[in-house]
Parts: sequence; C-alpha cells; structure tokens
Amino acid sequence: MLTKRPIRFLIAGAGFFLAFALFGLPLECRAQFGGGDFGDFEDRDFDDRDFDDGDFGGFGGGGRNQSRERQDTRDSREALNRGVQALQAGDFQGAVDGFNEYLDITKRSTLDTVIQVRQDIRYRTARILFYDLNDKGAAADLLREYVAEPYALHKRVAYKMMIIGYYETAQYQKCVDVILEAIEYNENPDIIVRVGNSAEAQEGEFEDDEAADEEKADLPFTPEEHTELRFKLGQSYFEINKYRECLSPFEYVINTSKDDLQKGFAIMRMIEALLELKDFERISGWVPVLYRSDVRYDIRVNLALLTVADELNAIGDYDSALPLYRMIVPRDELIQYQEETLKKMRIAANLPPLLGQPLTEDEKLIFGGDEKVEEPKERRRVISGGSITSREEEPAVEDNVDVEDYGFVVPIEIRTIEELLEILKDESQIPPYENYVNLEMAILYNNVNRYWEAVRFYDAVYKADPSGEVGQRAMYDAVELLSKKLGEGEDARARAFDFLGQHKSGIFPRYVSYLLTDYYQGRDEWRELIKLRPYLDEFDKSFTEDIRRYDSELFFMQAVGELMSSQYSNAVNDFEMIVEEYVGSEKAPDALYWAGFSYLCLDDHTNAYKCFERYTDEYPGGSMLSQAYHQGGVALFGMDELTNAVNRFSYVIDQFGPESIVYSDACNMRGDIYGSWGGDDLDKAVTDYTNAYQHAQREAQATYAVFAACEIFKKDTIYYGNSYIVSLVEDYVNSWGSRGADFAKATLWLGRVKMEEQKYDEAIAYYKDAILKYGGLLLQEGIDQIIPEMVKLSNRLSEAERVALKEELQQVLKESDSSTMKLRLRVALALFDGTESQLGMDLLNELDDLSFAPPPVLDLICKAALEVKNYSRAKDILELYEKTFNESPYINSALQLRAEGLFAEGKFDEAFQTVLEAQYLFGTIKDVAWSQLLWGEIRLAQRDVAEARNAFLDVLGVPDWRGKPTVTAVFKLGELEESQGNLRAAYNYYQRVYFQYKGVDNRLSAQSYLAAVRCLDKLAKQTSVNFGDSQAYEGGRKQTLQQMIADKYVNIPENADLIAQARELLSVSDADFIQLIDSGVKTNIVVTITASMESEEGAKIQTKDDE
Amino acid sequence: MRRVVSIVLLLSTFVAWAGAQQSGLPAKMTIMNGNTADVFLQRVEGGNLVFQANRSTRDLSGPIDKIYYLQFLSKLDGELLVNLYSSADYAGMIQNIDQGLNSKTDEYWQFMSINNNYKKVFLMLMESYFEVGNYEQAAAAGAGFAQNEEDDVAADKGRAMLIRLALMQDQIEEAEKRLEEVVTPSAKLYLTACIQQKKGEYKESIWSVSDLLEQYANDLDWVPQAELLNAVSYRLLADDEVVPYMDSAISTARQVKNIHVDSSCAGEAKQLQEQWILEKAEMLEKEQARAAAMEKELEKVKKGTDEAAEEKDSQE
Repeated sequence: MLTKRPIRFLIAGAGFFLAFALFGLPLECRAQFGGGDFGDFEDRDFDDRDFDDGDFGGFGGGGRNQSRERQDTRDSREALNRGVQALQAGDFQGAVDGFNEYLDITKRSTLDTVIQVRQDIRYRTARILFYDLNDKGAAADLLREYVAEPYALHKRVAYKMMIIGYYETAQYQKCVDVILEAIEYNENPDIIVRVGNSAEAQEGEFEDDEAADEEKADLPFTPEEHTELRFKLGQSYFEINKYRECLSPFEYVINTSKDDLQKGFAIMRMIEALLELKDFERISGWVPVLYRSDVRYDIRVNLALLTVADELNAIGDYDSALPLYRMIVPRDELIQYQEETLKKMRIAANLPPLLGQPLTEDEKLIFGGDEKVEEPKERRRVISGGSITSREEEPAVEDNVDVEDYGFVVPIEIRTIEELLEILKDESQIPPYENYVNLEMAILYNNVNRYWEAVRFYDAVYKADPSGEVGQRAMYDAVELLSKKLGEGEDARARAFDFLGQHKSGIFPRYVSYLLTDYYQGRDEWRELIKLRPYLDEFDKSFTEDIRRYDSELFFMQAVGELMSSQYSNAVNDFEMIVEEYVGSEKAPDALYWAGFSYLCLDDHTNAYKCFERYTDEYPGGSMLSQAYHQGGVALFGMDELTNAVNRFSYVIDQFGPESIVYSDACNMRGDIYGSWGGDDLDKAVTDYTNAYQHAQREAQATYAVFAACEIFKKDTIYYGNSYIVSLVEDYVNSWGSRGADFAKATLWLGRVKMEEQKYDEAIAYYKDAILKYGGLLLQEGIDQIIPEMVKLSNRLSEAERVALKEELQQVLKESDSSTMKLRLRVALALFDGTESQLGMDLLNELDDLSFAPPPVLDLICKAALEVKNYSRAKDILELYEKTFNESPYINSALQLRAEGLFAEGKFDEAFQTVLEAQYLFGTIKDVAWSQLLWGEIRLAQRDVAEARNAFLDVLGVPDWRGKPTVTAVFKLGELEESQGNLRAAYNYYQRVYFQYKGVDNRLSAQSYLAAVRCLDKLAKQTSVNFGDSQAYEGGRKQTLQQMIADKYVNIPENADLIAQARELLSVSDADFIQLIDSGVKTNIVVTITASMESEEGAKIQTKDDE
Repeated sequence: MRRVVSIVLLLSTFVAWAGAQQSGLPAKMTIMNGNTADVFLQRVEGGNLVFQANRSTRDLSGPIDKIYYLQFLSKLDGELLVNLYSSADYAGMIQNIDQGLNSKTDEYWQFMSINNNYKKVFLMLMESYFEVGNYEQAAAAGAGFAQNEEDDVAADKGRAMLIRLALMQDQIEEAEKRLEEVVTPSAKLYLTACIQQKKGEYKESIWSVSDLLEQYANDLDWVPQAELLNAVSYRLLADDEVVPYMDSAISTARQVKNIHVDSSCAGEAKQLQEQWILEKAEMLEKEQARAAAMEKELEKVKKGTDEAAEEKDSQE
C-alpha cells in the first residue's frame, strides 16, 4: 500500500490541470485541493507504517547512522504530520513550514520511495504557495527543484506554474529559461514509471474523475498553449531588453493566435522592439497590420502607442507614425469603453456593475446581496499588464483573498482594469494627451505637405484649447502655414487678428504678431503693418525676458512701419519709447539711430543731430556707428553748419575708410558742399565724386556720384567739359551695366552732349541704340524716359529723317519677338503721331496679360480706363506696380484709377489711403492734383463738410495746381456751399468759375452759369428776403442767363444741351433777346456783381464780355 | 412570426423530396429564430425572398426582414480575391468571381440586401465594376446594397456607389439628394467631399476629409478612399501651380499606399503616385527650360554691355 501513496497524492491534485489548461489567472485558479480538499491528507495521520526504516535506507547504514536515520525518520514524520494538520486547520503557512521541514530532512535521501514522496510533497507545497499564499516566486523556485528530480509526474503543469510565477514576479530571465526548458521538455517528455502493480495502481489511480483529469493535465501542450508560451517568452525577452530575441516568439503569436487582442498586442510589442533595433523597414510593414486591429482599446497599448508614434515621428517615419497617432483613443472614449467592458465583466463575475458603489436593493435581488458569490462560469480574456491570461472553471474563492469590494471578491483581471482606469482618470499621472496627439498629427501633415489637413487639425486643436499652450501653438502654426506656404494671406490675417482680439497675454500673441509683422514687411505693406498697433498696445505687460524681447522688436517694427508710411512724428515717438522703455534691449541702439533718421525726415535737424550724437556716445561699438556719424553730418548740413558738416564727413571718410558702407555717401555729401562753394572747391568736389564712384558699394551711390560729377563737368567747361562727361558715363555704363545702372540717365547725358554739339542725329542714334538694346527688357525703365525724349528731339530732324526714324521703329516692331519691345515701340509711334489716347483705349481692350507691359503702357491703359470709368483692372495694375515697378513715376495714373475705383465702390477709407499714398510719392506736382480733389470728394461723401471744404480750398493754394484743378475745386466749393444752404457763397464760387476760368473749362463754366441761376432762384424764394432784393435776384437771374447765352466760350456745340436749358429758363419776354442772339448780334452787356468772397479775386469782380 | 414558422414547416416538408434538376442559387438560409435550411434562392420580390426548398421546384417566399443570414454555397477563394483587389487587378477580380460562380454573378446582386457570406467579396466586386467602367453592373450592385437594412456600412457603400455614378454623369443635384439617405457619419463626410471635389471646391473637399480623419480616423470602411480622394484634390489644385500642391498629391498618395496596404486604394494610390512623379518631372523640366530662357535673355543684356565696352576700347 505504501507504493500507492504518491499516486493518491497525484490523484488528489488531478483536478487542477483543467483549471490550468490555458494558463489560467493564478489567483483565481485556486487549487481545488487547497484548504481541505486534500484527499487522504484530510482524514488520517502518517504513522510508522508509512515511514518504515526501509524508506530511508538511502541515508546509509551503520550503528550511529542508523540511530540518526531513525531520528530523521521520526522528525520527517512529525514534520509531515505538522504540515498536514496545519493544512487541515486552514493554516497554509504552517503547512508550508511543515512540508519544507520535511523536504529539508529528506533532501539527501536517494531512495526511490522517498524521492517519490518528496516530489509529491514539493508539488503540493508549491501549489499551496502558488494559490493559497500567493507567493508565486517561492512556488516557482520549489517547482524548479521538482522538475529537476525524477518522479516529477506533473512536469508540464509545473512548467506552466513556474512560467507564471517567474513572470508575475518579474523574474524574466528565469521565465525565459523555464519556457525554453518547457518547450524542450514538451518535445521530449519523461516516460512516467509508476511504482507498484500496474493493475492495482490503475484501479486506485483513476478511481475518480479528478484523478483522471490530473493525469490528462500533463498531456503535451495544445496549440493555444504553445501560443501562450511564445507570448510570455516574447514578453520576457522584451522586458530584459533582448529585442532581437523577442521578435520570433511574437511573430509566432501573430501567426497563430486566435485572439485579436493578443495578436494586436504582439504586433505592438514587435513594433516597439523593432524601434529599439532601429529596423524601420520592418516597422513600416507591421504598422498597417496593427492599424487594422482593435488593440488600441487596451489602456496600456493605447498609452504605448503615443510613445512609439512620437519616436517614429521624431525620426521622420511619418507613414508609420500617422496611423499610430490615429489609433490613440481619446481619454474619455477609452474610459467609457473600459467602463462598459468592466461593467459587463463585473456583472459576469456577479459583482455590482459599478466600481466602488454598494449594491442597490434591486441589485441585491439580482446579485444576491452581500453574500459571497460563486465564480462565474464564463470567463473573459483580457490583456492586463502585458499578461494574457484565461480562466476556466475556477474553484470557489476563499475568504482570505486580498482583493475585496464591498464584501465581494474581485477577480484579478477586473482589479487590473480598475487600477489602470484609475491611473487613466488621474490627470496628474497621465496628463491630457488628445490635443497633443492632434497637434502632432497636424505637424506631421504639414511635414508631408498635406497642408490643408494640417490646417484643419490645427483648427481642431485650437478650438479644443484656445487658451492653452498647445491650442495657441496650433493657431500660430496655422497662421504661419497659411501665410508662408499656402499664400493664403487673407485667411492667415483674419485668423491672426481674431486670435489677437481674444488673447492678450503670454508669448503666443507675440509670436502671431511677429508673423504678421514679418508678412507685411516682406510685402512692403507698411500701412497694413501699423494696423497691428492697437493690438500690441492691449497686450498684458510682462517682465519675462522673452516677452520683453518680442515686445521691443514688435514695437520697433511698428516704428519702422510708421517711418515707411511717412508718419514721421509717430515714428519718432515710438523709436524714442523703445530707447527709454526697453533700455538694454537689442533694439534700443537701432531705435535711437532710426529716431534720428525720423527727425531728419521731419527736417528737425537739431534733434536728429542729438540722436546721432547720443548714439556715437552710448554705442561706440554699435553696428550702425559709421552710419550714425554720417547721418550726424547730414543733420549738420541741414542745420547749415556746412563747415562742421564737411569736418564730419571728412571724419567718416578718414575714420571708416572705403570699406564702410557710408564712405561713398560721405564723399558725395562732401562733394555736394564743395560743389556749392564753387571756385577751387569744384576740384575737391570732383575728387570726392570720383572717390565716391570708385568705392561705391551700391548702384545708387555710383549713379549719384557720376551724374553729380557730370553737372560740374557741364558747368565748368573751362577745366572739364563734354569729354569728361562722355568718358565717365561710358565707364559707368560698362562697370555698372549688369548691376542695375541707370541706362536711361546715362543715355540722356550722352544725348545731351550730342545735342549741345548740335549732333542731333548722333543723339538720336544713342537713344535708338539704347531702345533696341534694352527695349525688350521689362525692368529697364530708363528706356521709358528715353522714348519721349527721342520723339521730342526728332522734331529737330528733317521731315525725311523723321519719317525714316519712324519707319525704322515700325520695322523693328514688325520683326521683334519681344512683347515688351513691341509695346514700347507702339508707345513711341503713338507719341510720334499724337495718338496716345487711342492707343490706351486699344490696349485696354486687347491686352489681357499685363505682366510684360512696361509702365508707359500701363499708364496709357490707366488713362483710357479713367476716361471711360472702367475700374475693373485697377487693383491688378496697381499690384503690378507695387511688385515690379515700385519707383516708377508712371504709378500716378494707376493710383488715380484705383482710388477713383474704390471711391466708386463706396470704399472711402481705402480710397483715402490711396490718395495719401499718391501725395506721399509725388507731393504737389501738377499730375497729382486729382488726389486733392478726390480727398475733398471722399470727405464730402463721408459727410465731413469742414474737411471737404478745406481739401478743396487747399487746391487753390498750390501753384502747380492752377488751371483745370483749380477751376474744378472752385466749382466743387460752389456745390458744397449750395448743398449746405450757403447760397450766396455758392453763387460767388459759381460766378468765379465762369468769369475767371471760362477759357480753362468751357463745360464747367456753362454748368456754373446754370448753377448760379439756381442759387439766385433759391435766394429769391427765401421768405426772409424783402421785395426789393427779390426783384434784384430776378434781374440778376435774367442777366446771368442772357450772359451765358451770349458767352462765346460757353455757347459752343459741346454745350448745346446746357445752352438749351438756359434758353428755356429765360422768360418769354426775353424771346426778342434770344432771337437777337440767334441772328448773330453781339452784345456789350456789362455785368456788375458784388461778391463776398475773401480771395484776391473775390471783392467786386467786374468783367466785360468780349466784344 | 406565424409566417416564419410556416416557412420552416414548409421547408422541412420539401427537404425530403428529391428533385433531379433545381434552378436558383444554392444557399443555407438562417431565419431569425435560428432555424436553418438548405434552399435554392430564386429572386427578391416586393420585400420577400422567393426560394425553393432542396429537392423541390415549388416557389416559397418569406419576408426579407425575417431572414437573418444567407450562406452561399459556391466556392470562392477569398484570399486570392483580396490579393487581386488590393493590387487593383479589378478585371482579374471580376473574372475570378465569375468563374467561381459559374457565370451567375449577376443573379447574386439582388440578394445583397440580406446579410450573407459574400457581402465583403461583392462589395469589392461592385468597386471593381466601377473601376473597369462597367457602370451598369456597378449601379445594379449599388442599388442592391443600398437596400440592406441590417448593415449600415454595406448599405452606405451601395449608396456611395450610386452617388459616385451620379457625379460621374455630372448629376450633382441627384448626388446631393442621395447623400441625405446616407446613415454613417463618416460615409457622409466622405461623400460630401466627393461632391465638393466634383464642384471644383477642392480645398473644401480636403477639409471634409480632414474632418473625417479627425473624428473617425479608425473607420477603415471609409478612410482609405477618403484619403485617396484628398490626393486627387491636391493634384487638381496643383494645376494652379500657386503652391507646391504636386508634392502634396504625391505625398498623400504615398501615405495611402503605405498606410492602407491591403485596400484597393493602395493599388490605385501606387499607380497615381508613379504617374504624378512623372508629371512633376515634366513640370520641373519646363520650369528649368523657362529659367534657361531667362538666363539667355540676361546673357544677351550682358553681351550688349560687353560689346559696348569693346566698342569703346576699340575707339580709344
């Protein structure tokens, strides 16, 4: 019977195998035979019959030894009994102590029977450790001894327990070793030799189903178990950083697992390992597979995705990073999903569905109140902590399980998910990541040129967190992308200003302002730039170094914008503000210099000088030191301190030398002063200009020096004369020809020389040569000055020569391939024939593409468009000027067309800005008078009568605007006053038009006659007027109409409609007069009018009709 | 319910009868109460499925909404079909299915309003017909799937096909009308993008797809073709040459190819990517030629000044 004992032990534990078949969760897979289910152990003691001497014969023989052996036998028996009794009493630790003592005493025995018992005790002790005491590490260690000795009847089960034991106690290297052993053993298992009569054994062994199950449990691993083994092997390798080794096991799992979650987890681990191995090619193969799985809902996978995606993104593997970012489930969605899952799991485990809540009365009815419940029959598979486990047919749980929830025992997989959920919900452990993920995706889209997806994602990020750093960063990136890469300036500006309207603090409003500043600066849109100012003023003041630096730069650029927009006083204020408030900032020295420059623009030379002096004192190492000294000299020049100025320029020339960027400027300035002094100083001036020319660093410096020298050569014909001019100009053309030399001016000078020498044909030859050489080049604007000069000069040629020249130009026009050349020649020929206006109209209709049209062509088109009030191309033409011909004098007509177009559209502010721009560029030259008239019209439209009146009156004060602009202004003033009910003043203005300017503008004069009559009519009807005055008005009215009809400047066919009106207005009694006039009789009517105007022509104007 | 039970009774009656020749498509039919029967499907008629029991030539019918599942019994090589589809070999796909179904493919479409084991294959087939230009079949397929009340995705795939066909014929209003029937939000965004693209609203189309990517990035029923649509929108934008949208188109196609490896879009994306790379090279060539012409012009100017200098030297 003794031989049967181990087998009965075996039988008692057989039921375990099924519970373990799929590596069931250890805590829940509590041994059926633990705690009172120990078969024979339960109801008997061990006695001498069980441990007779023969059993321990292996300890050796001999008297003293025999005595020792007997003692050992007794001790081992007692230890075993202690263990069994403790087990019966539910004292698992006591049982383990007793069994361990037994194992220790018998460890040296080599007797088969002892070994068999020892192995069985080991196995049982390990199970108690594993299941009852939850000391899986100790259990695994004991099982390692178990599998190393013979008579290990449950080796496969032992291996499975060991694997779990080492894995869960994070002993991964041991886990790897055991799994490799297990796989090896599975292929080459021991042949179990049972002791005793086989028939007897068979009879006893499998006397119940449990025993049979236990036997079956040690069958070879199933395919599912193989997959599980590889999964744990891969995991263990991964944990000990053996990334290459973990690939093969994971690949096995991916190929064999029927569990999508497990498969997804294995792919995820593969990718992480490949990332460590920097095997990016293989990663890109696995990512799409992962993308199609549902593994993202596992909390740990979800979080790992972020790390891996970030790493792939960082190395530029965007096509792999993108799907991983997409897989990341937002926190709320993940929590909701896991809570739903958990709820189902808890219900399946007969737990209340919600964590941490006591059962309601209804739930108690469903779940049985706070009674302990049976384990559920159906088990779920979850991935928790990287460990895939399963449970089947678990035994009943016991009281001493350490996880409880309102009296319920909670299965470990549920607890694991609950713990992970707690972590997920705790923002201090896992900060919000959704917006970060979206931002990363936006950046990624941007990096792969998927710009519009990027914009959309930036928008989403900003919308989700408009005040946070991530949201504001997204807004900044969106504005940058739109303005810099996509050319969507309008969209970018709208977003930026909207953002700035809402956010006043922190660094990002500064960044966005900086972007806008950069954008406007790049396009020279200075007036737009300074619209940013109100937003900057509203920023919260901050003293952080970074923000102050940005503020100083932003305000600096505002001041530059003001300077460039001719708002010099504002520029001075802002530059000085930067100097005072941002002391020590990078921009302070520059601001001081530019404050001085702005003063120069205001002709405030004294303050300008102070600024430059302060700069040289405070910043002796400043980057603009030479410029500051030079501009100080310019200020002195402006203050008429010419000697000091000469000394200053000499200092600059000597101190900073030819390498300085202001050397040529200083030479030119000093040359100008010497030149103004005349006499012997002219030679000094020529020397200075020559030096300036020779060391010029910019075309402008060379150009100025050359033509200034030419002026002296022309004046001082005794010493210099034309040969000097020719020599210098030709040198200039050759040296600077490819660097933007002003060919036109050069050719003009050469032409003038020839003209002085009365060699007109040679002068024309120069011009013609220049036209033929450079006429096809759009940017050679000098040609556009030569053409009218040449046409003018051609009047000095004989008719035959003139015709020949025209024919030559026509021939070139015919043969040339260059559209620009053709257009220029058409302008030249129109000038010859005086048909510019017609050409303008033709080009307005025929020229769709303006990109190759030079400024004179654009000018003709603008003038034609103005005539027919066609403003459709005004914007495009002006933009073309701004982009290509920024400094062209022809821009005036484009500005006029644009301004009048904007006015016609009712965009008064924009129209006004254009008016200002025209006056900024051209001052008060004759051609820009339109701007002042439009100024008045705009103000009138905006109902600002006083401003409008001033604007029109200002026209009268500018000598260059005499003539038609003045008469128009006077007429407008008449209209203005009439509209305000100031009928006398209005009458006077109208009267002034037809008296004083009838020869200037016949039509306007005719209109003024009628308007004056209208005023007289209104005055006559006013109730305050007495009868006498009324009679006078009536008389004046009649006289005015008669005078109009008799006025030979006014009564012309073009004004027939107006004359007809006048005739109608005259009473029937005047029919004789009309008849008289119609018969050709001339009148000598004297009209006397008392005018109340304050102008010099106003008081008592008397005029007499021409005979 | 009574009707269903009677169907089953009738089935069991006729199953025993051995008929020599039987028309229709052989299938295993599962009805809502879980009962199954081997039947020969005849047609769909007024919301009813007409079938014959095994070894019976008598037509029986039952309401479609009481039928849970049809398992067609013809053999198709699913793996091969997926491979053909994902490599954009649409003609091969059609031919293979036709062979597997003994040239009776057309007869199957009407049954796609009921859940069945060929649904995935037939969705691919529908796309294949569209891609090879067999629009009549594609329309029949679309109409069949659009009736499926049990499976929103399949039904929307059918509706999507009908919308795409309408767009192809410039019937934008018709497409917009059909869009209202679409159920799944991701499908709606994708089809909105299709309509916007047709209208020439390329940026708006990309935005709609971006919304889909932001809200339903893991809905792989619609994401691959939506991203491919974006690639095409970028290509169309590239015609303006305002910004380097050609690179955007190529990048997007590349990403579709790499991210949605096993989808038919991957094959199409690959073809487009290769085509656009060639087009880009041509564009660059033209650009270079233009730059060279400019260079030549500048050279002329320089030459002009050099000649003037030489002339001056010779005069001296």
